[in-house]
Amino acid sequence: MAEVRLSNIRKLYGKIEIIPSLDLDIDDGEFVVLVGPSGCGKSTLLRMIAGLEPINSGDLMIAGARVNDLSPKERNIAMVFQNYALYPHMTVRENMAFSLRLAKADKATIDGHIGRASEILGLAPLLERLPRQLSGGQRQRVAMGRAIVRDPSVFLFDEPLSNLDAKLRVQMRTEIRSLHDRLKVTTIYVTHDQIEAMTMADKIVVLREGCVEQAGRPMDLYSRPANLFVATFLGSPEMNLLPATRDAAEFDLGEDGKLSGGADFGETGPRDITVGVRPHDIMLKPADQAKLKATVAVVERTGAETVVTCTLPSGRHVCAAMPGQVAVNAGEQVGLGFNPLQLHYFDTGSGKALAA
Amino acid sequence: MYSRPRLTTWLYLSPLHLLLLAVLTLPSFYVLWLSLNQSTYGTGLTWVGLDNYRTVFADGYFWRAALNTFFVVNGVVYVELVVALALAVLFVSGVPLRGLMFACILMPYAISEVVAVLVWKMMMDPSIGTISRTLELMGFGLLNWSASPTIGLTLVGVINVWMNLPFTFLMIYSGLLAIDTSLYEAAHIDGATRWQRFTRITLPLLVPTLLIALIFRLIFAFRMFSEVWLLTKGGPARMSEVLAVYLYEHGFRYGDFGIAAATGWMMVVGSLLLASVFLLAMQRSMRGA
Repeated sequence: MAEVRLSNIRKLYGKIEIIPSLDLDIDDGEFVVLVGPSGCGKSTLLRMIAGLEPINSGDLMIAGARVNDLSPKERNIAMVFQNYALYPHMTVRENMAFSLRLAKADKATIDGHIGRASEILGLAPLLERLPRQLSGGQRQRVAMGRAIVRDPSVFLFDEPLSNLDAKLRVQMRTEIRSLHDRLKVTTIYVTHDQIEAMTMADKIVVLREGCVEQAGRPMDLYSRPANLFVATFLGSPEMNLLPATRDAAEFDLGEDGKLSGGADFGETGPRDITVGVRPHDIMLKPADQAKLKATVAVVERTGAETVVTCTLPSGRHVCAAMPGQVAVNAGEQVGLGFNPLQLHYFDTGSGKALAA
Repeated sequence: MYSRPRLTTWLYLSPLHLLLLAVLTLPSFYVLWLSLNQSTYGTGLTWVGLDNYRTVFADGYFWRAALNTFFVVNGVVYVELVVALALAVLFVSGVPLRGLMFACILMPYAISEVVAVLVWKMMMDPSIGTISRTLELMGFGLLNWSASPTIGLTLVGVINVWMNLPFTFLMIYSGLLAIDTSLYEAAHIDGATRWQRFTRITLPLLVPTLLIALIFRLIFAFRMFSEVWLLTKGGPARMSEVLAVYLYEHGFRYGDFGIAAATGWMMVVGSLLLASVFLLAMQRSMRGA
């Protein structure tokens, strides 16, 4: 087990700067999810930690030692790849034994490690099979087994669930998290799926263009996003953003109406403000009982939830999500109600969150 | 899902089958028929049963040619496999001026076989050839391949490898490209050295490709003719003949079609025997797949 510290990490591909300068602290036993849109550098960062990509400058410390120049093996990490990367010509047992054999471990040690890992992951009946004789979920489990037998101080996961179907993905999500709770090994997990990030992480690190936009506990990021990017990236459906002009404590949304209460940024605060509201914080009301009026455009019902997309007079869309089945139909006039305390405010110019 | 082929299935396939029948099956049975008869230019066929085969078996030159073929084919095929594998690995790991290097490696395939052999012949000419003169100056002595069957056949082998390297190289190169790079990364993380990654990941996954390349090349090499014919004409004293040259001599110089046809069939059987080891191995690996 080990903590991982990245300071001033920089990565270039030729002349293109992928990661300008990145600092990140990951505590011992923590489950950290790196999340961001494709091309944000999250996989590159993981591969740099793994030792598969050289680091141009900065320090990468694992368990207090600088490991920039160590080989992947010497870093004592284990990695689970997106496509599992199981050796197709080896059985499950041989796949798991590969690293131990290379390390010249004796048979009893190898059997012991494999026995323990296959017991944890329920792989015992599959040990003599080849990867192609396994289902997607089983392969995923073998890939984790191969990581566990090495007894690593850090687990690295590179989008491990993206090749699985939706149902299996939910199941494996739980399995990976409970595996972590059992083994308590520092884990760094890369995904582009914010639901995975929200449900699994102790700490989420939101990346964009090689920079950390915000890092923290999932619910902190969800309820107090540092900027517009994080606000819209986390949460599904994504946060509604309404550009407004502030006049004292009143927010003028132009032809859509006015909002008031909830926040007062005084005389010195910015005038151009973007008001954010999560779909789950909106309530549909009769049109005459709300300040904001809209027309229902689309109604999506999942059974547990009703997601309503409305059009404001300005043509802007607002999404509202309500539990259960709500009796509303496309074309109806509705009013949008929300608790002023649940609104988020951002400086439209810089995109940064404003403390209400 | 497997379903019994219908009449229409056979009809769709029939043009191909008719073509194969016309250019492959009928001629080979005609050659079989020829091998059981005695004939030459301008005469009809006279049934002799297995006499032609007996004659061929009793002919010391045939055994000499068979032995030469066996040694040259085996030498050529394995040397070529190793060289092509090394080159392909080098290319996959990255070479400077890749496009140019690629063109250099593929060039022999673009040159007419006869032209290539004649160019080699000139360059290896003991008195004026660039390569042979250079080798002599470097102290390797005079390589008189027209007088020594061993040196002659070695040169034949070298030319054959040079001419067919692009084929084996391309087969292995594409086989290497098909191996998922994440396997190497996983092995790297598992602690495998470069050499271990080659022996434990690359080689086992490349076996099917290597087998196919071997089978093709064994069969191609077995028919080797132009190199020997243009360089030594089988000389001195028929010592460097290979089976195809033996066949050609009997068929078109001595006009003994029966003997030539019998030799042809022996070559088919011989090359199948040589390739059968690898065919069996491939079938086994496919059954496991």
